[in-house]
Amino acid sequence: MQPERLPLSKFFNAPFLSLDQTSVEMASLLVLFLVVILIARVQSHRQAIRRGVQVVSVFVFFYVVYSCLGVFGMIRNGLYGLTLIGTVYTESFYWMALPVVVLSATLVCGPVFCGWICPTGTVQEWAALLRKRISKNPSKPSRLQILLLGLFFAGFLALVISISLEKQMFVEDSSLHWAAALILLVYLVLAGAIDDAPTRSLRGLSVVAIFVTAVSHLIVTSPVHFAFTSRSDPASATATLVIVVASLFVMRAWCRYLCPWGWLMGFAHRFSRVRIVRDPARCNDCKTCERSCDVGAIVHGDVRTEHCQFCYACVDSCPSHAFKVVDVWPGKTEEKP
Amino acid sequence: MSAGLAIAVVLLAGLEASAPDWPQLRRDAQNTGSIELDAPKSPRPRPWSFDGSGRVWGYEPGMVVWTSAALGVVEGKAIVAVGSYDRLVYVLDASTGELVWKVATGGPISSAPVLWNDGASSVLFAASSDRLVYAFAAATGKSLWVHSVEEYRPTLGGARLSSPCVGQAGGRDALFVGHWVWDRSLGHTLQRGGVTALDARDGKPLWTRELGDNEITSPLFARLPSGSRLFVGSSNGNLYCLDADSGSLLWQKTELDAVRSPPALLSLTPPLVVTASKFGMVRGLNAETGAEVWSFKTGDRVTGSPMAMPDGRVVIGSYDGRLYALDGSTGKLSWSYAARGGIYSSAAFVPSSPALVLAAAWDHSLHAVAAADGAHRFTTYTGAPLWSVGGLDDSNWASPSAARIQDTWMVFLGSYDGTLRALPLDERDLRAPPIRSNLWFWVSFPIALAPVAAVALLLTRRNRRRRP
Repeated sequence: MQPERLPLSKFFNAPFLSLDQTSVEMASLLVLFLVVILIARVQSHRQAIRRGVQVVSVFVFFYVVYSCLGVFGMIRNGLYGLTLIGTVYTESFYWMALPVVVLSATLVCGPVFCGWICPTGTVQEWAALLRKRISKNPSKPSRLQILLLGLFFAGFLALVISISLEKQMFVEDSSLHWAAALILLVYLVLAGAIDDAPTRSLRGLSVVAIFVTAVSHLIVTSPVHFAFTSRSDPASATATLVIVVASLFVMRAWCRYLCPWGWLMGFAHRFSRVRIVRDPARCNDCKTCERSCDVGAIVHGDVRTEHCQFCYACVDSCPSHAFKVVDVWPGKTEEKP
Repeated sequence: MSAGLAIAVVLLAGLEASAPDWPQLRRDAQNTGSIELDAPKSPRPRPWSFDGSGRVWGYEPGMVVWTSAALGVVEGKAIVAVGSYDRLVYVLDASTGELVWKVATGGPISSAPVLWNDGASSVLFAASSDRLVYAFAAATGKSLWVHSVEEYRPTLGGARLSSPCVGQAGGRDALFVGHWVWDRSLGHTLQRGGVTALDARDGKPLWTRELGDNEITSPLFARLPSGSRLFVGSSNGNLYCLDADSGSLLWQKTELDAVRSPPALLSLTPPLVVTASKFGMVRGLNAETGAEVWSFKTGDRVTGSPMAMPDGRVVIGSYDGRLYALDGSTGKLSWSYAARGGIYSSAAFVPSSPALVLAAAWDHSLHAVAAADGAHRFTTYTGAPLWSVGGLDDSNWASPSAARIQDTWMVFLGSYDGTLRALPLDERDLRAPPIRSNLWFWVSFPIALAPVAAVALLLTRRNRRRRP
C-alpha cells in the first residue's frame, strides 16, 4: 500500500509539506539529543557509549542530513530565518528550527552537540585516538612528524592544482581556503610562532566571516560540505582530509581554531544550566584530566567553559573523582554524578 | 544497427521533414533541439546578442534568466522565441536579433515557449508563473486565448508551469502543459502538480490529470503503435506515461530522485523512452509498459533531457561534467566528453557535416563535440551567473537550440549571465577563445590566509606581553 493512501495521511502530511526534508533532519537531531541526554547519565563505559553515539551520528549526517545541519549552514540559515519573521512564518521556522534546537539544547544540557554528535568532531577524535596510540607524547610532535606534515601540505597543494586544471573553480570551493588556513595555523603553532590559547579566538573571526558572507549573499562552503551535498565536491572532500590530518598533530585542530559553530556553542555554554567543575579538595593534581581533554579545555585543573565540549572525558578519567557536573542555574544546587 | 531500427530511423527522418514547427520543448520527441528552416526572406545570419541582465534583480530557486529558445518561420523570416525572467515573451529575428514583438505576462517565465503551425498561420504558446497559458499569433503577438490553470486567490504562493507541448488528444490538436501550484499560508497549505490538456485552437480544457504535489516537467508527446502517449516527469521522482487522449495513467516508473526534464523517445521495436533523474541514473524503458531495458549510471545528478541521435545513440550530460553517448538499444557507453564543470543542459544535435552535439556546462561554456566520436570541436565562453548564491543548480537553465538559416547553422543560447546569444557554427568557432582561468581562485588564497595569520600573530603577541 502506498503511504499516501493510508488513513489520515493527508492530515498529518499537510503541515509538513513546506517543511520538506527538514522535518526528517529535525526528527533525527531530536532523537540524537534525547539519546545523549539519557545516556550521558550512565557512568559505566560512558566513553565507549559516546563513541558509539558518534558513529551513529556520522551515519545520520551522511544519509539523513541534507544541508541545514552543517555548521556553516546553521548560522547562515538562522540569519535568513530571522529576516523572514513577520512575513512567511512556516519558512522562517524551516530555516531557524535546527540552529534554535541545537542552541537550546546547549542551554539545557551543555554543548553535547560538539562532544557527542558533531561528525566533524568525531572524525577529528578518531584521528586523535590514532595519534595517542602511535605517539608517547601526543602534545609534542617530533621533527620527522612535522616533516611529514610538510610533505602532506605539498601533496595538498599538488592535489588542489590538479583539481583546478580539470575543473572551473568557484566561490563554492572556498572549503579549500578553510583547509589551507587550518594547515597554516597548525604549522605556526607547531613552529612556536603562535600560541594555542590566544589563537582560539579566531573562531570568533570565523563567525564574523560567515555572517558577512551570509548577508552579502556569497557562498562559503564548509570543509565537510561533501558529506551533505548531492553534487560531487572534491574540494571539500580534500578539506575534510586536511582536517583529519591536522588533528593528528593538534588534537581537534578545527574545533580549536576555526569552527564558527564551536564559538557559538562556547558562548551559549556560558549561560547553560550545567557545567563541569573540579572539587579542589579531592584533586591530587595528577594532570590526568588535562591529558584526557582533546580540546585542551582544562587549564591548571579548571574547565574553561568556552572550550569545553561536554564529552565527560575528564569526569571519567579522573582517578580521584574530582570532577562533577553541576547545575548552576539560580535556585538549584543539585549535583549530578 | 538492426534492420528494424534503420527503417524506424528513416521513417522518423521523414516525419521530421514534414513538421517545420517547434511543437515541444526540445522540438521533437527525440529532443534534438534543432531545425532546418526554409526562410527565403531572412538575411544571411550574423552573430548577435541580446542583453537582458539589467532587467533581472534577484535569484530565487527555479528561476531562469532566459528560457530555451524555440525557432520557426513567420512570413518567410526565421524567428526565435524566448521567455525571460523579466516577464516578457520575446520574438526576435533569428538572423539579426532585431525585436519583432514582445509581450508582457503577469510573472517571470521559466519555461520555454513553443511554436506551432495550425495549417494557416503560426501560433506561439507560452506558460508563465502567473498561472496562465497564453496563445499568441506568432507574426504579430496578438493574443488568441488565455487559460488559467488555477483560480486566483490572494494567498496563492506561486505557480511553476512547464513548457507547453502540442500533440493530439481525442482527434483534436491539443496543448499539454504541466503545472505546479502552491499555497504556503497556514490556512490553505497546498501543493499540487499535474498535467492539463487544452484545445490548441481555443484553449478550452480537454482533461486534467493530477500527479501528486511536486513540480512537473514539460510533457513529451509521442505516437506509439498502441496510441498517443504523454510522458511527464515529476520532482517526486516518478516518470508518468499518460494516455494523451484521456489523460489516464498507463504506467509510472519510480526513480530515486527528482526527474527534472522530459525523457526522449527512441524509435526501436519496441519503442524506448530514455529518462534520467537527479539520482544520476539514465534508464531505457519500454515505452509501452515502463519495463526497464537497460540502465547507465553517471557520476552525478542529471537535470537535462536525454537526446536521441538519428543513428540510434542517446546523448546525455551529467553534473559530473561529462557528456555521455550511449547505445540506444543496450545502454553501453559509446563515447564520453569531459567539460570542466557539470553539464546542466540538454544536448542539441546539429546535422551539419560533420554532425555536432552541443551542450552547456557549469564552466560557463557552450561545448561542441563531434557526434560521431565525441571529439572536441570548440568551446565558447557564455558568461558567469548574475548571482553567486547557493542552489543555482535548482534551476533548469536554458539548453542550446540550433537552426539552419540560409545554409548557415546557428546556435541560440540564453545564458545565466543575462545574455541571449546567437552564434553561427562555422570554422571560425574552432578558434574560439579558451575558457576562463582559475587565476582569481589562486589570488584569493593569500587574500584569505594573510589576515588569518596576522590576527593569530597579533593575538599571540598580546597574550605573551600580558603573561611574560
